Amino acid sequence: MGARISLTSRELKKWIRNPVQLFITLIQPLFWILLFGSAFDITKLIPSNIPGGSSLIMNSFFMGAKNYISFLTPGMLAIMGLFSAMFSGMSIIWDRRFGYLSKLIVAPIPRDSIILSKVFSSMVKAIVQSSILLLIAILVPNGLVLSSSFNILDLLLLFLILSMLIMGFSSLFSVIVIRVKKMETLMAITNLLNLPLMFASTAMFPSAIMPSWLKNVVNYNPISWAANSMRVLVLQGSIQWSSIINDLFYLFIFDVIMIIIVFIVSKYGFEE
Amino acid sequence: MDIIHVENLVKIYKGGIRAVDSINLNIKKGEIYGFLGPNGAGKTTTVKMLTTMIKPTSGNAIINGLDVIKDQAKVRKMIGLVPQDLSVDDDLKGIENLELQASFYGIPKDDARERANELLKLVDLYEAKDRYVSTYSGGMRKRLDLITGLIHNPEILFLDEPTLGLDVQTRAKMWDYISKLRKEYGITIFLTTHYLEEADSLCDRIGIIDHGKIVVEGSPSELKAKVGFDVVDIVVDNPELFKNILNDVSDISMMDNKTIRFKVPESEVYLPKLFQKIYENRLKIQRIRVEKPSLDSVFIKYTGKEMREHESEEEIMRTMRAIRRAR
Repeated sequence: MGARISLTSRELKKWIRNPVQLFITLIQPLFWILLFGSAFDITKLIPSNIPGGSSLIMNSFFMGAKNYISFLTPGMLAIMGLFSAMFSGMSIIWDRRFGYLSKLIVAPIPRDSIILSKVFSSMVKAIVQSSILLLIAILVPNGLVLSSSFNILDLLLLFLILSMLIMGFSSLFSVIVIRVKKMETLMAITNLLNLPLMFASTAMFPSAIMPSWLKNVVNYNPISWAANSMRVLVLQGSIQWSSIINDLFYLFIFDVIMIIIVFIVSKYGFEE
Repeated sequence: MDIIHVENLVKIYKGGIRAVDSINLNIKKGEIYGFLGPNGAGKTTTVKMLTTMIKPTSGNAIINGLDVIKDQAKVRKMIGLVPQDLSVDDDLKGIENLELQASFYGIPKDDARERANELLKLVDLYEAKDRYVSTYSGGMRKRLDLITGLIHNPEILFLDEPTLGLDVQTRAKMWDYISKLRKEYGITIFLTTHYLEEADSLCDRIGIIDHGKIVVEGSPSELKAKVGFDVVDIVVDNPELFKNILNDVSDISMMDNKTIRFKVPESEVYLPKLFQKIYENRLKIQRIRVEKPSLDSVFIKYTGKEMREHESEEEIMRTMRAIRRAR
């Protein structure tokens, strides 16, 4: 366990000590909430004079969110998790470039610790970042309205869900980085994966407004699982197990599969 | 027993490149063994195989009685590696780099700190230990890199091009530190280099490697002796008489009308006898110059090419690497 912990703390030390990176980490959620929250606010299209009032549509399409930012914030958390996972995985390529990886490979440490330290550290980073994002979302005008029954257990479960999402994706990207050694190729792959993962999910829009073929895709996207379950926690509070248990289970399976792949690839994958 | 024993080691990369072509090595405990050869000769590939980074295609490599493939985990515990590219973390302090490395070997924190301080003092970095490595000079980083490879007190230290890219003075200082390490800890050192002077001044034994094969092996002086002769240039007051004295030397030539050049296998042994004869014949020596064969001449003899050419190639490679990194 020693190397896993010390390598994780190395990652976190590097993160805290890099003022620019830390600043971006803190400021980015603000941008995301303000820009996406304003640009994609489709609730503005709902006419206010329809029978039953706009709250009927908000209830049936937007899980009863009071406004778009309330709906968007849990999705933004998931997307932020995706990006955080991606960058942490990519940092393996820097370790390789700067020769540090060869030192790790020669050391008598479990191979998986090289990847798991990236995974664990990105989980910690994301929890810090998501707390800030939640706070900002609440503070902006016309911002996040939490369910009145939202409590600390909901918050902890939300962090857990986010961590599960990151564990899966961070593992996925790390495994890709181990096999793909060229920066340019890696960039192309991550760009190819990111946008579809982001938009073919329920992170920003309810699946109810999507065509049926897209709905099918969306339902298999881990981003959707995380976004949906975190949304239930934020908008309904007091842990509605029945509404989130399926998503949690899928995320769990996603993690288990990815971790198994990490162990296999790390065992044989570091060789040139 | 030899601490490193290698038999018919072969590495063929994908695409059929024979990077290492059936090499044999026997290195004794406490020895500094140098692998000398141009770029792409197979030096780094050999180090990678011996340090368990890559698996050999065929052959055996036994490190301190342990097989590098079967006993990978145990081998890793007893070796230290300082890779060719700098492998210290810029964003950490000097001491943190050492402590992190120590954690890989399960060394308790207090012991690690004690050992780290000792090593830092050895390479004159103790004062700078709490600074971030990003503020270190190139030579300081290399020194830190050197001691991170030693934090767990390994039996064998592998140094892959330990002075690559350092200026002449810093390089000479690195040699001092490396010799000091061997003296202090009696550690076995396997190093690769393409600097002839480095191999000459540091190593007990040298293997010259080219195209994946060891072409010749021996101590620096043995190797030089294989090229043959020391060249002696001498100016005396009576050249004609002097030539008669030199009756046991076959290869005599006049450089100009005063300087006589001749070649002898071992000038250390021959010259005292010659001086005796010169004294007996009442000749006077005006000038004398002895040139020992260099590793350069050894290299040319066994590989048929100059080492120097490759150095400039290496410079180009290094610049290219630097550019790639900067991007």
